[in-house]
Amino acid sequence: MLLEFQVDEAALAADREVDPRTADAATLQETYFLMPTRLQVHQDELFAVPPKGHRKNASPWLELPILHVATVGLHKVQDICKQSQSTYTLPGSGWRLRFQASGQDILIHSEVNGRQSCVHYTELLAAFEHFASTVKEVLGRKVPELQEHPYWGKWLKEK
Amino acid sequence: MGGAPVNGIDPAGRWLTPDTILDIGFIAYNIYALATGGRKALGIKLSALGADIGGLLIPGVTGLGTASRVAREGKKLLPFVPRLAQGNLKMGLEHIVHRHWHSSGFAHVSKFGADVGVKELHGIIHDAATRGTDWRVEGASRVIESNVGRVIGTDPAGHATSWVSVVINQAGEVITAYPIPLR
Repeated sequence: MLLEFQVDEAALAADREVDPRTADAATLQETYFLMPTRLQVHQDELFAVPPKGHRKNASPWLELPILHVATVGLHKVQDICKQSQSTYTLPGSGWRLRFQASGQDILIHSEVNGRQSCVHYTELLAAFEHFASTVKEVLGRKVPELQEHPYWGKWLKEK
Repeated sequence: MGGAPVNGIDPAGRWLTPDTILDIGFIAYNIYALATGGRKALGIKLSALGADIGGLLIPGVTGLGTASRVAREGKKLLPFVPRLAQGNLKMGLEHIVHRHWHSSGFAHVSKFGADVGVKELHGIIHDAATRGTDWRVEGASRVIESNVGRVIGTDPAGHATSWVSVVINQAGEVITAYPIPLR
């Protein structure tokens, strides 16, 4: 499976105009660093919004705040172990990813397009952990001032 | 004359003033309520008694117990309604207008209806906070999802919806609010 994002340089530049060092922690999580994000499981694009009108091909990318996916999304995946199920509500849209465990297999249902796909828990967790570490690396490099933020600075430094 | 200068109990009339008499009455009532009311709202009653004793000791101040009782009972009854500030492009009203207003040009984003103005938005947020169940903790944010009972806009797929999501920070300020798909 694949969980990745594209760096939107224009969005990053715009975000840096409202100083991230002094921005509210929750605001940084919810509305900063909106990047095209893709979730592919066994060729199923779970973030592809169904096309409207004459367009035939849906883009697999959905714009999401990457700090949210890297933290709240990861926690929701970790929660599957405790409750056998978990729901991650995508910020900005209200669409949900529903995780349902059956042994070590996790059925993921996407409300973005109604598709569902199954993946082993370790693979799902590894994908979200890799996403989080990539976000840390990219933001630490491209938005170095974020390391001075009282909340997110600590998170960036966590291994 | 509040005291009893004739018989020498309070010759100067400095102690048995009207507020002192009221405080004694309030304290007597609180003791009666504690004695007869069982354990129901025990914390509120004890706080009220303590506040009235405090009022007795402070000249010119009375009714602290009643104020305490109203404040504590009110805290239980009144739902929390977050504050919608003007904000900027990243939070508050300005962000919502920029990204989720009917005139916003963003794709795959939920939008409020053309009939929703700033006043209506305040009403939607108020209704969400009072009708919703619990605020959900999501990392640094708190989120509530609620059916406000009337169509307020469209979800990201363009379907009409009466559901809204309100996201706040730890100070209780609205970061964003937007229509969400029916639950």
